[in-house]
Amino acid sequence: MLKKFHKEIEYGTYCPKLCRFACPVANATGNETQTPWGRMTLLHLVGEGALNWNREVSLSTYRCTTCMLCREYCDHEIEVPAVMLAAREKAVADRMQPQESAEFERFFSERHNPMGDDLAARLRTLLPSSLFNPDAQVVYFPGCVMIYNYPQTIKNTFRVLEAMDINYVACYDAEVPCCGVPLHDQGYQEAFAKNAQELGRKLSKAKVIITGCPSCAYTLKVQLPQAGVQLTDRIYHMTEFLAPLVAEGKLPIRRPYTKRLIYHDPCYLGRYLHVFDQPRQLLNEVCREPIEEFSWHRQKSYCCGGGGGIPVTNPVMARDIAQKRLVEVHEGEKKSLVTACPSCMRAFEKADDSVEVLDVVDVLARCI
Amino acid sequence: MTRKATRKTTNVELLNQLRDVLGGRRVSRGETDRINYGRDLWPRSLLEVRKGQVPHQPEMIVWPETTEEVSRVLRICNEMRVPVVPFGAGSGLCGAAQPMCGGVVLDAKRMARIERIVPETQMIVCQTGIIGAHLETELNRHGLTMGHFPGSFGTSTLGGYLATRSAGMAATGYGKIEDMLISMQVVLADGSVIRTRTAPRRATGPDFNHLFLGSEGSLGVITSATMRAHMLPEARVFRALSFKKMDAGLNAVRRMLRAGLRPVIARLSDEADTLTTLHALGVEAKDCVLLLVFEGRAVRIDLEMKKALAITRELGGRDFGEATAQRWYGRRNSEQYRQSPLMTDEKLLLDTVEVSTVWSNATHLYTAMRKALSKKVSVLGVMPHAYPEGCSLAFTIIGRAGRADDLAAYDAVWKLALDTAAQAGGAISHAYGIGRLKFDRLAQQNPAAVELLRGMKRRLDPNDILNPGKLAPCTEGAC
Ligand SMILES: Cc1cc2nc3c(=O)[nH]c(=O)nc-3n(C[C@H](O)[C@H](O)[C@H](O)COP(=O)(O)OP(=O)(O)OC[C@H]3O[C@@H](n4cnc5c(N)ncnc54)[C@H](O)[C@@H]3O)c2cc1C
Repeated sequence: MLKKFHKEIEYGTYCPKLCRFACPVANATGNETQTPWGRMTLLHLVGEGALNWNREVSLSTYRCTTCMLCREYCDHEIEVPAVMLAAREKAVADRMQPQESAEFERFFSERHNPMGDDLAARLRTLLPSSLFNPDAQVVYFPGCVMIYNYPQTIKNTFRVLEAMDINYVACYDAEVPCCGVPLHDQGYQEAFAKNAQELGRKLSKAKVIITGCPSCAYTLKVQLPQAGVQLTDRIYHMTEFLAPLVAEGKLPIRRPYTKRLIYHDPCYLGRYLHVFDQPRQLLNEVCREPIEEFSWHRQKSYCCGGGGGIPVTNPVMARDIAQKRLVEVHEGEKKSLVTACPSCMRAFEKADDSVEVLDVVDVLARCI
Repeated sequence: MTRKATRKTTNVELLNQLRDVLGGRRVSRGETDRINYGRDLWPRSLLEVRKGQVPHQPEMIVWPETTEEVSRVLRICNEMRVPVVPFGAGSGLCGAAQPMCGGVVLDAKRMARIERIVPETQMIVCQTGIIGAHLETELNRHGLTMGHFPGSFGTSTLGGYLATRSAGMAATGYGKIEDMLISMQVVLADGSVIRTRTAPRRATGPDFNHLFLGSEGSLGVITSATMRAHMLPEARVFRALSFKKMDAGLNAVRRMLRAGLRPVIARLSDEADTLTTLHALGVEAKDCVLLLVFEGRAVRIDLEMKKALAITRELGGRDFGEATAQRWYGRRNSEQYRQSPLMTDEKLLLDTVEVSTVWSNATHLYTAMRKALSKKVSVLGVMPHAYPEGCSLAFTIIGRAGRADDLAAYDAVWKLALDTAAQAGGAISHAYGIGRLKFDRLAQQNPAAVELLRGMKRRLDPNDILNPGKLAPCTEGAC
């Protein structure tokens, strides 16, 4: 599993760790082992036979949020997350994954999603039945984190669409509610592939898929095909779908949004899917005050700590990373944080309940 | 007698006591941590790790967050006679942070709080575990800059800079780290804390800042520092010039500085460096290329650049324009990345020898180093920093071990480099420090200074717990 990453592992071991300052895990812990360099060194030594592949080594590979900020500071463009995910796959195969990870997988398999709830039922009580149409060509895929934690954002999504006279978007019924990324992140590739097959069958008729969750968008677009499941190639994040329409004046704006906002670029929306402008364009359409930026933003945005399965295996680390990101929110005038990812929202809310955290769609909904 | 034999404790007692101070999460004795704290970025350690070896591992790693915690950790270790190696980000290039005698590595990076930024007086007070790039980002948000940009900017700490007397890429304009230090707080081996006074200049006896500057963790743990910052520059101007010979380029820079010009960067490559490093970065110029950067008030820097160009013309230099230099500036950190692909070749050796001297000796030192080293390895020569009285010279050496063991070949090249530097009148380090790499040579070259250091060490750290074996021979000599 790791052989094909020989170059990444060697380059990482011999590198001068110039990405160190950008690694959210390294910054939160101050620990050299938890830098890309430290983790690659361990894998190199395992490859050399100088270190046993044991649980401690495997645990180090679970300390990566997969945010990919390190690549921004690597001239060789080494993609550390791919190596860490392959190492996790090996950890699972060798039964060396963290205990939390094993429990998580059991829980997921029994209940078909990471929350353990009947998410399809939740969704049915949330939206009118007219919004569900199994034959629809344009489908909204809410994703499990959104259904479980942010039902109001789902409602707001359909309010915004309705206000724009868009009635051709149906809501996916969520019988396979999760895109599977939590399994993928924990190294359960077989379970991920199985989930992907089921999901592929459910979404096979969709010609366009829209989701408010960047991880879902990336998984459906990139990782499902890697697992042999090809969906439509027209998969969009909600902000990509809405931005051109709102720019055409389709959104009836009754009142501008007047409070101060700072925008957080989610890693999967920004660095993975290259969507930077659309959320800002949408906010600029409805906000009276200019949108504030973090000093680390756009391509260099800093992680919220919610990615790479870290909240499952290393919850304290996840909290510390989010708190670091929130320092700038507390500076200067009072403001709310706006983003376009339910996992980021969750990570921030768990780390600090004094900050108001919104989705771009929530802001739009307040203006119609 | 080995150090371990002098120990008054078992690992378990030590662990328990450290956990009492720091809690479980900030003390580790895990194998993975011991491996990763067993080396800094000394290229010799890279050769070892390439073979799967990390020979000098600590027994534990601790992450204190306050001066008080550092003090308590040191008190425990001093009482128990356990070595403590202060550790910044482990970017040192001489093995200074390598725990030769085992013991406890004290990682300072969780001490990264900025205590105060005073834009009116351009000062910053902060803990020393802060990473250079983080410090600069914060200063920039307040309209300030540190002016300290070592190639390791993203992976080195303020404490490391102070403890090695580091020089950034813009040292010609902003000075070395010692020029930016105002005061510091240091924890001594017995846990006592001393502070030097924050005042612009003092005449209160010897300046104790200089006792700890460059002390490489062997005299105390620097926990906080008050630093001089600078206003962010209003503008920046660039130029790439070239000279047929190094001598002419060195002379041009000397004359620029004597004329009162203060480029922030004056980096002169020899022909070999131009053809490899600079060409790889898209700098299309020939011969010995001088990259000049002035920054500050637009009016001033335009005048300075005019004068610099006049000096260049007088000395027969050629002008490759602004865009060429800007291209280099945009990619200036890329040269730091060449190590990884090269090191995958299992016989390859790579390092940088950096020395300094006065102008009158610069050409001689450059020529002697290049001549001696070229017999064994490929050499890329650069003059990276200049001062009114002299300059530093850096030689990237790339070679193959041939049939010899790569570590032995590496040691032989370094012996030659240091012998040549000393014979040709150079200082054996300009900014990277001494560490394990240059200690023997320092002791040979300047036994009186080493004896004095040993005396200070005996006074400040009688049990020799702080980074033993660095800057003064390890007392037991058995590690
Ligand atoms: C790619 C690359 C480029 C580099 N470029 C430059 C450059 O341009 N200029 C330059 O000067 N150096 C450069 N270096 C060398 C290195 O970055 C410097 O020596 C730096 O100052 C080390 O900082 P650190 O925090 O990593 O310290 P470490 O390597 O962790 O430690 C260095 C020494 O300082 C001691 N120390 C660390 N923190 C403390 C503390 N708080 N109190 C007391 N002692 C302490 C350690 O015990 C050790 O002896 C480069 C290194 C690399 C890898």
